[in-house]
Amino acid sequence: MNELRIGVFVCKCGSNIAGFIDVPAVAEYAKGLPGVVFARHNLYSCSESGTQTIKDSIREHNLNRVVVAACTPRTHEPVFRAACEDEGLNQFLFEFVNIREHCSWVHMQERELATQKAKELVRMGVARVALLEPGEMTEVEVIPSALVIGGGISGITAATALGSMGLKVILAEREKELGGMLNDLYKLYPTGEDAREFLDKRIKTLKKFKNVEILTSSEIKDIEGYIGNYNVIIKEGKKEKDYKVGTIILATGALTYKPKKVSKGKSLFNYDGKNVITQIQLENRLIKGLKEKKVVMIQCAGSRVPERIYCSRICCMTAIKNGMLLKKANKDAEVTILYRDLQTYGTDYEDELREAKKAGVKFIRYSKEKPPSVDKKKKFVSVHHELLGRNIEIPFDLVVLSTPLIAHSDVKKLSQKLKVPVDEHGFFLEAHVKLRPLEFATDGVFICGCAHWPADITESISQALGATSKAAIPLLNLKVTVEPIISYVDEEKCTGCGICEENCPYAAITKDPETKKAKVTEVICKGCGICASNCPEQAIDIKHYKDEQFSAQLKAAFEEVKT
Amino acid sequence: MSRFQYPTNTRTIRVLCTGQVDPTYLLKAFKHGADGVMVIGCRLGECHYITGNLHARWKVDLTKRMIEKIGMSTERLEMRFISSAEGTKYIEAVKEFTDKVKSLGPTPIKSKEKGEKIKRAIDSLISTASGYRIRAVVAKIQKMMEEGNVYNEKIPQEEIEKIIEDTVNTEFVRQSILLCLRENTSSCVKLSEKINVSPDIVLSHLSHLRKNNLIDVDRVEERVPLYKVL
Repeated sequence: MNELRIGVFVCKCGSNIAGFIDVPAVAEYAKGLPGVVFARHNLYSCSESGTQTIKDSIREHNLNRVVVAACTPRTHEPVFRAACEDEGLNQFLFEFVNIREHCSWVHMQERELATQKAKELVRMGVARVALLEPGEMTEVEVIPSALVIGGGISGITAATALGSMGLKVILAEREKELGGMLNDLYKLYPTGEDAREFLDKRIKTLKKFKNVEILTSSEIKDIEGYIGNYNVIIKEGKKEKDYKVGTIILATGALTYKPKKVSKGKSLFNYDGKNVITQIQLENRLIKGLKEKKVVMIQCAGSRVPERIYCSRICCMTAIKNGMLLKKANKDAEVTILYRDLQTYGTDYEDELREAKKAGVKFIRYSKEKPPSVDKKKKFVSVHHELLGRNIEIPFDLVVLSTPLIAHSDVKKLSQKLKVPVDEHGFFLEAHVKLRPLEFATDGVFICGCAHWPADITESISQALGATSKAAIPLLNLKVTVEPIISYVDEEKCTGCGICEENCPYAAITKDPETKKAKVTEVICKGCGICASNCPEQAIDIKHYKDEQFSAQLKAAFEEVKT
Repeated sequence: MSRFQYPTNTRTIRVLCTGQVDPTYLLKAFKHGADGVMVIGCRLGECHYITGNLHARWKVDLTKRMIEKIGMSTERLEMRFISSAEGTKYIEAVKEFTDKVKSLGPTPIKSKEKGEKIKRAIDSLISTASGYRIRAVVAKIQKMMEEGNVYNEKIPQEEIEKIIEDTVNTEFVRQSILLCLRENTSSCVKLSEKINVSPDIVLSHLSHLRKNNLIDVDRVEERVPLYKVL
């Protein structure tokens, strides 16, 4: 190997790092580390002048490894990798050390110790960079078509948007009709539009696109492949057909929770589907016209409780909207909404709440500890009034439970086929809540709408459009580049025991029938390393995260400090 | 950005997924002088790489059993399951763990009397964790838990734990013997004293190692065979 010539750049990030760490001292310390031939500090390493400094230094000092100690690779790694590439230095010979999120921002009161920690983090980075190896991005061709799973409002929106880009789209819906939950709704908040009209308009627009193939009563049988080259088997009615797509948008929606009817004992708030119903059943009755005058709604029915701790988000606005609709239809209607907390977020929804109060909808708060009880014989709801400090009884003709949206019961089947995770409640889990909110860690698969978490129609549409723009990028580029951070097998050591194949969550590693050795399908591998840590012969390693690189980092972490 | 504060004495090593966490990494951290090691993965059932944290759980379990063998507190190693959106939970975990490790005191590696001995013992553990047998057993666990063994028999967790425990015991003694023999040829009794295991157990392992062509008799002195590594 050529002589190591490592350059270290320590960033002040304005005062974000320099305010809490002695940055020049860290740079000075770095100069003494093994292999380091050049070290300096920058005010903003990511700025035009900052990256120029890095580039100039690579040239002037003939650097063959670069360490930047600054912020997070999540946002800035591409910037510095590009700077390296500009000077002909392979981007995988660059190492990012995070001394902001991992140091200055979390140790604001301890300048000396934080500076010490920063030095050690840089030392670990230098130890690692010395062992890094150049890598090449792999280019994969992309089939310019997309699969949208689920034909509710999210799926319809996504398929329409992709269709308008001229891309081939397959929209697969499980039910006979498109529309999903919209089929059961009456009027939509905050516009008051008729749900049926709204849906029909959307479907009409969608059907104009000849490049969108709509499959109803269909089911995903199997999905195989990777970004750019998915092979999907869809069963429509009785016939099965193969499709090849480049990306997949998941828009399978959710269900509304329907309490179990119990013949003996108590169901949730005495739910019976007749006089005690759910909001979605109310919507259905509103379509036909409602006779009942005294209506009591109970919010958070089955949500924000131990077995379902999350907030379903849409129920507050649904109740307010339906309360208003009842009032508008019949001035004498008495509507009471029993709530724990009201979430009328954003710019429009709080107005709706004010309108409802003005129109005479009553709002009474209850606590989780003292929930209301429904007496069906005497026809009143008893609730502990928090302000009066005593129980009050509200007569009713109809009780409406605002039950939460819940995940489909068979969500696991799809998640396994797509190799994407779901959370404890069965909602699909994005790659990162802030940085990659509409994508999965599996490249080429995207998420939108209620399959992700409870969302109203506005939100579902926004998400669908966001997911579409993400999913369309590779389809329009006709190629994707994949990072070479993947596992590789030392065939000398491999005994073909098959443990890696058994445990790979992506089916990326298989035993080659000829050589009887493990073989990695590079574009499928995500580099999780399960195969490496499980390999009995230690024959598998992950490129860019190799055993020896970890070992060097670990050793450097605990070296006696000489400053 | 919340910028919650936490103790400065933590060093982070990034892995793509806890699925890659190898018992040897954890042991190496202890060998180099970590007072405590924490593995942090996604919440159970929410692994971004589907099953990585389930595998890591067994690796951590195995490593705990190993460090216990050499008299290190198992509390120095911990796995937590925290999502990337749970900053406060992370901070709490780091604080709690730091406090716990502080109460345990510095790592025995740093002790003047025992330090070198424990370091050598960790070397034996690293060899154990690198060995085929233990790795194969631990790698098979997850599938065995989910789907049962090759005869489709579901295996209760206690039984699996017993398998790990037994394998660790056996392999640790064997690796310790090999490590000693690598330094010097030695007799059964001397080995028994050195690694603190009864002579009959050492003898059974010596015969196993010999059968597997890992060691052989070097010479016989005063009717006592001395063994060497091949």
